[in-house]
Amino acid sequence: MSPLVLALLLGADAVAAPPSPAETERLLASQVGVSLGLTGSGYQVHGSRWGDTLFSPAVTARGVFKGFLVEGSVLGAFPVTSGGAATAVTGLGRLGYVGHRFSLHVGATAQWANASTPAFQVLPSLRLEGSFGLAGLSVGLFDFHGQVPLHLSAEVPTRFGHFSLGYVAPLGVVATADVPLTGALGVRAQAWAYQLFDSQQALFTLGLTYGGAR
Amino acid sequence: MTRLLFGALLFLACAPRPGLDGTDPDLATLGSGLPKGFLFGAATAAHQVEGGNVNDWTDWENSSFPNGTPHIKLGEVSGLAADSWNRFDDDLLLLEQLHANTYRFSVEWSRLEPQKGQWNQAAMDRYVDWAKRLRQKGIEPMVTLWHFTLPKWVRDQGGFLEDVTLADFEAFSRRVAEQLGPHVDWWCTINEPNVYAVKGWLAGEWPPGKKGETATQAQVIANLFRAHGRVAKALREVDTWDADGDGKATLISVAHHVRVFQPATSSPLDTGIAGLTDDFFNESVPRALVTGHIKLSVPGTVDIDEWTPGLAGSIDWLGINYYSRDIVRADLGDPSLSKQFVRPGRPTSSLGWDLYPDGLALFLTRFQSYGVPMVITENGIADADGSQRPKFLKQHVLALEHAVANGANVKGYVHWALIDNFEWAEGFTPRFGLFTVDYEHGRARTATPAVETFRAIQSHIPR
Repeated sequence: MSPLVLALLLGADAVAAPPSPAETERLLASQVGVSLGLTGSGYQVHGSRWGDTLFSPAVTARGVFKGFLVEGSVLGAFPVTSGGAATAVTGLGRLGYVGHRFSLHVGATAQWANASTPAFQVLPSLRLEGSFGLAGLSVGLFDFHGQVPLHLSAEVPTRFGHFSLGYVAPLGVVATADVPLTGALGVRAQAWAYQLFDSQQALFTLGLTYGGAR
Repeated sequence: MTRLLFGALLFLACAPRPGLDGTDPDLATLGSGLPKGFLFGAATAAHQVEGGNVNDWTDWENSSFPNGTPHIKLGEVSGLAADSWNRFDDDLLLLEQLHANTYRFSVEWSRLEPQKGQWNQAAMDRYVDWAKRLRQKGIEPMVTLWHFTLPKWVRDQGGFLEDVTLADFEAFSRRVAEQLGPHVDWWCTINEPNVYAVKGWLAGEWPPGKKGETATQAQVIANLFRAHGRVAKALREVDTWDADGDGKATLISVAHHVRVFQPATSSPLDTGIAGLTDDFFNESVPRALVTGHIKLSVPGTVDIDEWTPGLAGSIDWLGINYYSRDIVRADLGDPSLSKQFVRPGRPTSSLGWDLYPDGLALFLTRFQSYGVPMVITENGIADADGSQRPKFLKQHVLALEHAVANGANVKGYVHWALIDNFEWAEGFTPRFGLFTVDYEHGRARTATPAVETFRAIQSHIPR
């Protein structure tokens, strides 16, 4: 069974049963989520640019079991207009550990693209997150569905929710807002925009999460 | 930060594309959207049509890769090619039949200077005669000084990797300008510096047959830029004859091969590598020649970043050779960092190149920001039986009209090619000619259906 499928199943199972007090004390808890978004991608050239707009739905799942982390996500990229970037689906699978003040996520993303040679593209995916009292820090390589090359973000929990704002190397920003609604249900808004070499990507998604707020 | 904001706005404003895919433009008025005095003609290059040249390609054509595969498909050699060296009268008649008002041809360095400092005046006189007779017929000669082939003595001294070759090329160009200058205003110093370097040092398909030498490839391109700068200065010093009476004795450019590099997907790697490839291949050339800034960068491999004295403002116009589009899928194990391919189902030429007329409009729109006029110095299709070429020509002229309507300052369109040619590593199989050449029967020239298309468009261009 692939790590991704395992992660989804375990994540769903974890959400079905309320997390134990010990689990909630950890930095992250089990959670599933769905979102809808738009991606703009392309490259900047002198006086012009090449750009594509894509519809980007995603599902995510994360299971935390006595500190052991399994997580996965699937992000679709469906072009809004023809003649540009191909339809693609990116799966992410990561394993790791969640402590009380830090979490480590290590894995890979695999992207399948329609009518492309090669059809599959595999990249590593890493994330390290730490909490330091009132705020936290996270760093990631091909994080966020494998779409953000390298980021360093500040994490701020507030009574209104959990917010993060980060720098994307070499030039860009990434921001996430997790706002609880009722009980285990929350709203997640996420956006990034960055430039890599001469290329650019921007994404905005809005979705729901269920499970641990973080 | 401005560029980043542009990125964020990609949601709202993608690059507009003319949408010419699948269209079959109406020939009734095509050409009427081009500016008055527009140059509309055809091109060749010496080694590809003249025949009888002895240069570095002669040796390359007669040798093989280490595995025994001939360097040229089917083991062909250029040989007599279309024998244009001896059939200029025929070719001139073809240009007249087309109603062309410009002809882009190249002079062969190895023919004019077979040994360093030894000049073949008879050959020079023949080129001078060609230029004179073209002008007498109302056909503007557009002369390319270097189109891929090197005299063997230049190859033996290291070609364009060595500074001595820059000096030798400048001396050669001065000599040509002294003799052709009274009849020629439009100069193309160098043909496709990027293609020459990629084919010779990255793909290993052309001499010197090096593979994966990314850094050397960049050095060759940079040296070709420097060579262009020196030659442009020399041309302006030597050619002070205003042959066509427009007040300008020299109109100088390179012929820059551009390709649309389109990311296969929206993944950061595909878009990143497509952008990197685009900058290296497409953008580096006008940037260097207009601003003097040579910037050629492949992360971790090569980073040339210099301002070259004398290079800024070295072109009076920008020559654009446009043929096709490549879809870019990142592959970090490949020397070019990607696999480039054509999407299934796309219309293609007989060489398998994507037929994508929108790309021409995109480049003409994009490069107008450099503030120099543009001329399409090559655009054409390998078409085995000539049946695709009329539509190809119509679609690309329509793309050109779209760009002009959007403000692009385009002065001319030169179709590749006037006649079938020796297409380098592909040999004689690809048929690019508006007039096909029967290599089996006396190299007779026969009009393809696109000749009528060309004439119709020409008749609609405002006088």
